[in-house]
Amino acid sequence: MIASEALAAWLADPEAQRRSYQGVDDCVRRWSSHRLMTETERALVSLEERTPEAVLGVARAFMDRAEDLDALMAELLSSSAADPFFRPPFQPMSSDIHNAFLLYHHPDLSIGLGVSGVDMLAAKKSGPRGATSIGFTGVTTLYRYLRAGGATLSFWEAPPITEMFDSSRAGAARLVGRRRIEDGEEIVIDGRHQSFVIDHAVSDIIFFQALVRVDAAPVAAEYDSKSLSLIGASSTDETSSRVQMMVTLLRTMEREDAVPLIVEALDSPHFYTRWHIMRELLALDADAALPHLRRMAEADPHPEVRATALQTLQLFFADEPAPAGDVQCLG
Amino acid sequence: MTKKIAIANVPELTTSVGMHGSVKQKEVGGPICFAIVVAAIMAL
Repeated sequence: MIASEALAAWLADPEAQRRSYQGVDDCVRRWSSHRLMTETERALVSLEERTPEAVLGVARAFMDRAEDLDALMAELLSSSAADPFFRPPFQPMSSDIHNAFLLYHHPDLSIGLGVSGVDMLAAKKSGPRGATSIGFTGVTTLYRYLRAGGATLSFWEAPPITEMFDSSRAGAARLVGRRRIEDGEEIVIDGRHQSFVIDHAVSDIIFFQALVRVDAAPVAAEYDSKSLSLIGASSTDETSSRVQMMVTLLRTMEREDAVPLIVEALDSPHFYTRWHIMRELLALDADAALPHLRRMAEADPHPEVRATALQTLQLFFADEPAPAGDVQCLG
Repeated sequence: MTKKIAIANVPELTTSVGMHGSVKQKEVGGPICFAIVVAAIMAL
């Protein structure tokens, strides 16, 4: 590595490094106990109704605290100016066209402050591109544009994503409007059936983003930008994805002693997780899986899971006697 | 004897659902895929 002069000096000076780390620690201490954070936390905990609208109310109250947010920004700016090795203690979030800091995080609500760079947008729109998609996040998101950048957004809708989501009935995305947004404007996107695309901008867009996970759809859906048809879905639930990976690992390790735990995970609220776990259980211990497979074929709430479970029963267990409880009583 | 089933032979759902945060194609510049950072630990 070829270090710049300033970096080389910093790396050679343990006291300068200690001061930089101390500056970050001090910032953490001040802001983690700041009323902006603690009162937001309290407001979320004490919500009587945990609906997307109620959680959005807490997010709006956070964004309305201009004095506190200005003080936070002023501190980050002065600390960064005083020490080039100061690192703002907020999780950075970056994509091809956005840079943001995660200011507040709670399992039900994340609030970020970011910028969509007009140069980044231009590079993305005019550079070489493969296939693109319109994403429906499955969650409710509020955007408040501090600087709208003269941006024009196109708004899109698709059939609502529900617990019964089925790719064969996902329909198509459709354009429902296009307009320029203004400084200070707020838009709420219900990612269970709404999305938007930044079509054009003339300067950087600076915005708050509040993402609400309450009542999220089970999946996020992507529609192809050209054909407007569904191209894929992914889980909105990180925990269930982790459970899926853990169960796959246990099956790969042939941990039959984990069967009781795996059976418990069959109760997932998500149809795709239930079937993923059933496949793993069948491969790990088919005998233990059989009664659960029968129940799934009979009573799983998702029709596709029921049909696939029935198909699996016929494929592997056609010669197994039906359990006593299933014998039809005559007379 | 315990029945052995190879996982590759077990049918999959027609509706394929990827892991959390996975995307098939590049988005065109709409909502930030904020959900991906759900596990991000804010230093505060």
